[in-house]
Amino acid sequence: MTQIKDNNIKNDFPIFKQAKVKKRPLVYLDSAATSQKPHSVINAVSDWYERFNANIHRGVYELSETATKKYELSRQVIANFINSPSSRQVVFTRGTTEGINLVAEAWARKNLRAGDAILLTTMEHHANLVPWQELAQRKRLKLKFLEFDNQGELILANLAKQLMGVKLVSLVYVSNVLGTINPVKKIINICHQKKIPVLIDAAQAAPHLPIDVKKLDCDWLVFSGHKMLGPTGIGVLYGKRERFEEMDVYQTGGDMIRNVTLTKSTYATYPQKFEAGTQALAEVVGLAEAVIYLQAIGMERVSSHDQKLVTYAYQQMKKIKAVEIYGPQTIKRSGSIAFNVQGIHAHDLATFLADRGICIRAGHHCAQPLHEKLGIPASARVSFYIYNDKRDVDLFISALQAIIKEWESIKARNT
Amino acid sequence: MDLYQQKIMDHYLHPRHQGKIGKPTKKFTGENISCGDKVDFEVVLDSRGKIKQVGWQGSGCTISQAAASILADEMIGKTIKQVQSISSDKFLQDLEVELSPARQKCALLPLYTVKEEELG
Repeated sequence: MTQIKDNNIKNDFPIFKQAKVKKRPLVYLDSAATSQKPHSVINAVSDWYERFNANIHRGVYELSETATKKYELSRQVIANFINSPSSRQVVFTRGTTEGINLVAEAWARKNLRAGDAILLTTMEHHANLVPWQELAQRKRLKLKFLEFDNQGELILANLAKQLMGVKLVSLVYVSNVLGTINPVKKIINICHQKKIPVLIDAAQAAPHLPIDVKKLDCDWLVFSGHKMLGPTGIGVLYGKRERFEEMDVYQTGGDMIRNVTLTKSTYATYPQKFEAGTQALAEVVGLAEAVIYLQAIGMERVSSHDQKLVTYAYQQMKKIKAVEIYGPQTIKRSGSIAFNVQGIHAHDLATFLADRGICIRAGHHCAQPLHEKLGIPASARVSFYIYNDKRDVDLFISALQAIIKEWESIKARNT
Repeated sequence: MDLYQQKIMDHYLHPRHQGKIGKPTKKFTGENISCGDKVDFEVVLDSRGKIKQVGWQGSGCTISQAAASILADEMIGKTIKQVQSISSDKFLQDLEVELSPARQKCALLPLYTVKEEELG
């Protein structure tokens, strides 16, 4: 437990020095929604505007050339982070949601035919469900779903059979509610035996686990910067060369063209082909800085820190009788725990914790079908990241115990 | 520590006018799609169009359910139009609890249900 006790990482995050909630220090347990940002990322963004700001590509003056270099260097940093064979296979997006929409529009709309099926899972975030519903409606495609069991783990027994008629599989690597780490490598293997491409939603995986797209052999992988210490409004789409070559344009306009006449245009090759208009330059540089920060710690260490913290929290929560936890045992779980307290609605619980300076989330966490499957309208969720420590968990647990006690005594007084 | 102020807890633990009523004149159905909280109202009007009986049913958080009970209390003796013209600010004051903007939505679900307006 030494690693989670001696956590100096918090000092790198100014918000923990600045923000006070009800005059108490911030206990931030909502990193699955968005992470806090270290000094280095904040500085990289403001540095961009103070020292480097110019539009990239085609500027002949030095400032623009430097800006272009920094932008493309950032692409290389991301490529290394996910072990992409080439930086050209890294496309900048606004986030996971845009990455999925991009593949839906530029690949699936072009390559799927009426009657084809797309396989998803019932634990998807709305971002990996709604774009496919839209496309299915427009192109008369079928949507099929892999179910999960009582442990919050995907049921793979009939996967080969379920892949009949499926032309695309899109699934979440780590569930944003259950925390389940899905066996995506295994699923990708099975799909590839049937020549079915696979898109991986790594929004909750990229912040917590080492990602190796070569090893995974996924066809596409998408994630967001803001959940992994980077700025908001920036994300990444990785794709295999052959998939990118099969894809139509997404948004069209400046910067993604080769040649334009009044009536017709030809397009640049990827990644520029998918990056129309001026990109979020400062955010790209900020994201690269976030990756550099994570790499300095090491993703193996990030992952083991999460694992230790989530295990500790899970064990403490299990001791409280009124707490019901959803999802798998901790070994198969990344940095979050969704739960309910018997008799206290999740929204009330989140409010009571907020009054004690503890930030958690309550609701359906953009996964309504998942909650329907669990038979609950909402859940409370705590999620952890590198700056959290044992003390955060202890404060959360003691607040939780106090709230339950208070609730019971109010009920007793009023009956 | 106080969880919620007394009035909210009282109405949550001892809901007034909860349940179905016979032969309602009008029904209202509401749901907060962002959290799944639900509340239905049934009313019986007298000859002058005033609410003489109200019954509500629902599920959800303490705030939305207590607010339904408090609103039901306020509805008696008013016309539907009079209930619909209660302002959000006035109703939030009646609840006697301090709420963040997100939780104000919970509190306003019952009123918006009777107003037959989408909860913004």
